[in-house]
Amino acid sequence: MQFTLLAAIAAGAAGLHLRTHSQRGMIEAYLQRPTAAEGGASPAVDPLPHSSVPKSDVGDEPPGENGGAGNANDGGVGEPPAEQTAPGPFSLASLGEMITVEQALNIYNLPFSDEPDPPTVIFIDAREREHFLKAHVPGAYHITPQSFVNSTLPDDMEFWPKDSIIVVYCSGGDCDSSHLVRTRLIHERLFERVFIMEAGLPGWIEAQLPTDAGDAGN
Amino acid sequence: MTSACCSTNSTSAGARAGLLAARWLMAGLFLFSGAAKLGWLDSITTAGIDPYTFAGSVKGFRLLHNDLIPFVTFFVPWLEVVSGAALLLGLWARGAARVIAALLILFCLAMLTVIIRGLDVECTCFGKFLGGAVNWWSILRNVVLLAIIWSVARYGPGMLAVENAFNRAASPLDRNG
Repeated sequence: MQFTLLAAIAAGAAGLHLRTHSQRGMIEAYLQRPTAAEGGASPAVDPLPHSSVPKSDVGDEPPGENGGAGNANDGGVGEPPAEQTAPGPFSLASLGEMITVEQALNIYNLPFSDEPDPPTVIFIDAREREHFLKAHVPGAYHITPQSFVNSTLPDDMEFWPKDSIIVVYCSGGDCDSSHLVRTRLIHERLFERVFIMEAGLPGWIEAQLPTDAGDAGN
Repeated sequence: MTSACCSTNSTSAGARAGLLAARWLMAGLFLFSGAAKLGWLDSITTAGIDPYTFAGSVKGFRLLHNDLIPFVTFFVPWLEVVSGAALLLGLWARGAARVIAALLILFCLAMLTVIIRGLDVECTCFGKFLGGAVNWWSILRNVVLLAIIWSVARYGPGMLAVENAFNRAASPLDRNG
């Protein structure tokens, strides 16, 4: 009897809380995402015809002094949003939520293209800090789902242009952190173009692309 | 309940104090756990998570349909809070202890399936407190907690329980005895 009453009280409170909770939409959005097992991940996208820096060149020498993919640390902060957000034949519009390493590399290279107004590109590593310190995409920020709860987001995030192109990754495979971070960036921070590099850092390393180690102000 | 060890009338002061300690320990643990998952501890400790992060963890277990996860995300922490409060006050303590025992058994089974399936799931069992990936230690910890809470479910709330006052009021003989 007591067991049932306690469960009923909790169920009532949970139902009420769920109906009124501000994060309900975010939770539902996160849960509705297709999973790889359901065949929804990595929508078919033609191989990108354009990359301003050939993969082999990037493998030897990362673009940018800090290796940053034109991220907010590299001068993108405070700049007016680029009018042309998808320069060249590389079309962001064709990309789904999940992108391949090759597509991520094309995004990484966008700020270094010859286009007049390259967009701000931001890479985010959503793995645990110890893994981030060992290796991460050059210039990537370290932001985990917990960063939003503990207010440990980068100080300059408020200056990131809302039309920045953001690529989030974690460990690939079953890792959910990038999805949690992506949903928060879209629903809480109102960024519109947030992609997930499905293969995560293992895929990036497998493609023999450069990484950084340590903590560069993150 | 007429156990030789701990029936209401024959329980020694030491045993009742032990039950009180077990009850308050579990009350504190599960009040903290529920509050952490509901995001109530964000401004107090870094151990807190929030329902959104907890939903991600629940999904990681791959045991529930997506339609159920939002409700479970709120139901489990609320059940922990309600049961923890009942244990703290010593009101419906046996029922609350059984609820928590049932939760712990379910958690153990869920963790077991995670280990068997080889999934890499972060345990947000107590928010970020005692976090890390689900492994055999997580199950062992729950078994220890199960043993502690079982003592309350079996022998009652011990001393300083609100329900003791109600029981005495309902039974004048007990007051004199």
